Amino acid sequence: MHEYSIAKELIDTLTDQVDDEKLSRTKKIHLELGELRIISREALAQAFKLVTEDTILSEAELEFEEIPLFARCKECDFEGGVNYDDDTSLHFSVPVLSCPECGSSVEIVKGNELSVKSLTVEDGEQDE
Amino acid sequence: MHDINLEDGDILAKQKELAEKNRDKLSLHGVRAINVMGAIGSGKTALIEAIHDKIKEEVRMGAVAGDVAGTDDYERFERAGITAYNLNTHSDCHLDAHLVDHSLENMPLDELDLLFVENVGNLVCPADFPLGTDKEIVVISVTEGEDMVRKHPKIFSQSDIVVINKVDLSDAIGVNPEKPRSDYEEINPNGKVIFTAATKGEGIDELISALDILEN
Repeated sequence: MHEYSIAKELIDTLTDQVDDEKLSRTKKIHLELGELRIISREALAQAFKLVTEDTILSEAELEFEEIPLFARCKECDFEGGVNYDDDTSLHFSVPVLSCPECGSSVEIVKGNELSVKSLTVEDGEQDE
Repeated sequence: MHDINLEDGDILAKQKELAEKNRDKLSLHGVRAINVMGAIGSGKTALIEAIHDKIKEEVRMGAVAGDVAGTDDYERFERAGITAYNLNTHSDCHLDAHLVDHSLENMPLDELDLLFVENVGNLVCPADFPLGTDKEIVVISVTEGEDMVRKHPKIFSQSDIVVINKVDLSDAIGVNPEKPRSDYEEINPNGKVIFTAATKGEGIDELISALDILEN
């Protein structure tokens, strides 16, 4: 729903940390998308394409790696995945964000990522 | 071809930084702020009005009216005598820290003790955008049905309080507010559940107590 503003944040993140010359040779942007992130890959890829048209990033494509949920219980020793509510009336699986062992609150260790893992960049003269 | 890594790949890092800046600014002026998220039409504005009605003699309260467009909520706040600021996103489905920073620049923070930031009606997007407030509450009402919590686990798991509003209509529409209550308690055992009927002033004292508004 807000993939356009995420695309803009992504571009800011890149331009803040990578020089333009490298960005113009960037072919792939490897993104980590946590399971809990409610973002449409297609919409984000489309928004990114639109915003980067005729810019130094116009050759770059987004690739996504989903990071599964990994939780740590705040009360007992449990660490791992959570249970899912598979009620068919919801038409999709929803994670139940509490400890599968004792029901207490959990800390989300993995699953909330929205980050650039790496860039695949075409070799340039300076890279040799 | 070769791969390069970024120093900080977190795409929302800037948002988090701005949120921290907002928090610092609010703290500097001694203002507690509350992010009021919730479903469209669930009663966020009515709750803020109802709270103000109860505490206006003791607490200097302000409100930011966040919406995609229009000044409807802002005008309601003004009519109620709440120091208010109108914030339109124009297209975004959520407020963000940058917009809130803008509203803080335009509000008399030295004349306020408490600030409610009413977010855009939406149970999905606001969960990803911290504003720098002290507490986050999510408002739903029985008129949206019983499964709002199950369908939107993230925003509820992150919240401090869920307000289940319009409970006076439960029987009339055949919805049991205990269902979202137990769903919430399952995914957020530390969060608080408050039942309200905002336009009737019911449950408002409990909400004020849960928000620690009067304990200074």
